[in-house]
Amino acid sequence: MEALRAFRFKRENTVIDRADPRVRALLSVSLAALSLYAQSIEKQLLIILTALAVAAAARRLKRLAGVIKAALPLSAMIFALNWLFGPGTGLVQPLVLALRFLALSASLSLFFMTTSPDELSLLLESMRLPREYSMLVTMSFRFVPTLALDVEAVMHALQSRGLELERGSITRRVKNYLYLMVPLIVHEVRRSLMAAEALEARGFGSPRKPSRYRELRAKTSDYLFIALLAAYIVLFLAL
Amino acid sequence: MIVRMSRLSYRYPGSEDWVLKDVNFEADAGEFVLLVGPSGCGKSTFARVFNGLIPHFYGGELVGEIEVCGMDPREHPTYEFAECVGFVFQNPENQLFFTSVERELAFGLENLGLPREEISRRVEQALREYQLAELRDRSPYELSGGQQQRLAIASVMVMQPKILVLDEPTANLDPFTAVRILALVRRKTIEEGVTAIVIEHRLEVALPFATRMVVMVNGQIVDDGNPAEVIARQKHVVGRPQALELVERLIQAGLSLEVEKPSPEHIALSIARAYKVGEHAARRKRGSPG
Repeated sequence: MEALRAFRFKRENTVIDRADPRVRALLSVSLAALSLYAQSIEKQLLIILTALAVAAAARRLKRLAGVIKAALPLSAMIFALNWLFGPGTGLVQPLVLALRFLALSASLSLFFMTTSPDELSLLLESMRLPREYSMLVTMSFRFVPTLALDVEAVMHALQSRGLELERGSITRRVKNYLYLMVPLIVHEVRRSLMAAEALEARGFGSPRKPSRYRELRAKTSDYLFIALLAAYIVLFLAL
Repeated sequence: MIVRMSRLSYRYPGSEDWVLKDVNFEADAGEFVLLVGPSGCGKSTFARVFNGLIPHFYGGELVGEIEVCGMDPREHPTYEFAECVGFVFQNPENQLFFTSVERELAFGLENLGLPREEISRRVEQALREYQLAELRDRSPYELSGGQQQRLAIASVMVMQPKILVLDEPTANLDPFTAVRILALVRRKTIEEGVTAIVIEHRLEVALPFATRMVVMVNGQIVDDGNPAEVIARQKHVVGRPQALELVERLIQAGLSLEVEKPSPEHIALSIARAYKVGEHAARRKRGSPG
């Protein structure tokens, strides 16, 4: 349930939020690309620090720190596996790989953390992706909280009839969750049919080319942002 | 006549039984038609014929003569009806697809391919008219049930349909919010001549607004006409609101009541009027011999 709540996007009013989502995508992709290119510990750390600095500017430092913390165990495993079975003998290469994993997760979550589903769909539309796909993205984000409520409702219905989901042996618990999944899937299939009906009733699927109410337009500040990013990349590569 | 259906019958795919049987129905601009009947009698199925969801979405066999906005639902797909027939479903949550009120309102207009200036004008107007301006950046799950349903109606009305079909629009709402939603629909029928087809179980909520009542039983229309008269004839099907029972008893007791509409508000008004008239007559009687 908590995992589903994380999908609720919270709008903030910061420099980063106001930037064009395309610029934010560029920033995240650039950081990720630099991380793939860089071969030293310092450079990987620099990328992680940059991501944290941007997150701080977007008032989401705590959330990004949380993402990095959640990625730590996997990163430790990458380190251990490479150290034990990797081609080299030194500690540097495994450490770079472990840090690269952290840098990649930090830079990519930075984008998803600061971009609302609506902005994401506008971004996809600006990349000339057909509307069906951008709607798919928008609607999956939109229906996550609804799904969370449905899960809760089915769980309460089961609990009120005496089923304790979190008790018993592992096999028992897995079986209990089957009781949850069957009505939930049936319910969601019905819900998706009703949504499809409503979409058609509002003219979706017409062969006529849909117009756009909102379109992405780059502002002066966005070009400034890109210039800054370019300077950062040049400096990074020169180091 | 904006809707004309005669000898309409329908059955779902793979089914032998006809869900709608020999239905004859016509509706004119500005009418507020209340469609009632027991659960499973085919009301929702009937409503889905209006914009071609039947037969295009559900399949099955649809026969009879049908004309809605000058089009036959069998020959025109649902998206062609979107401009003329607005459809509001029971659960507002399943018909709101975006994470902001503003985008939701714009969606249908985008599908119609309207230019951006026109979309913007209509969205702003709807935000004001349906009191959604303060909620424009909110997500549907941050809205109350009443606000969600208001948004659902607004996002359909913004496309300026001539017919508005509402399938139990107030099922998830409290009585007060339900009355406000239906009042909004009634205003559209008066001001803009929209034809409203409203499926509603709670008579006391819908009666103040209905200009006509249609009763459906077992896939057939069994009564159609003035709400007060229909209720009098079909009380074994639709039930009788207590307010109407009061009127009957008062008339039996000798009070002369003229009830304009079978809603509690109208009845209260006519009782007050009758009482005043009676008081006036009594005063005149007392005054005349002296």
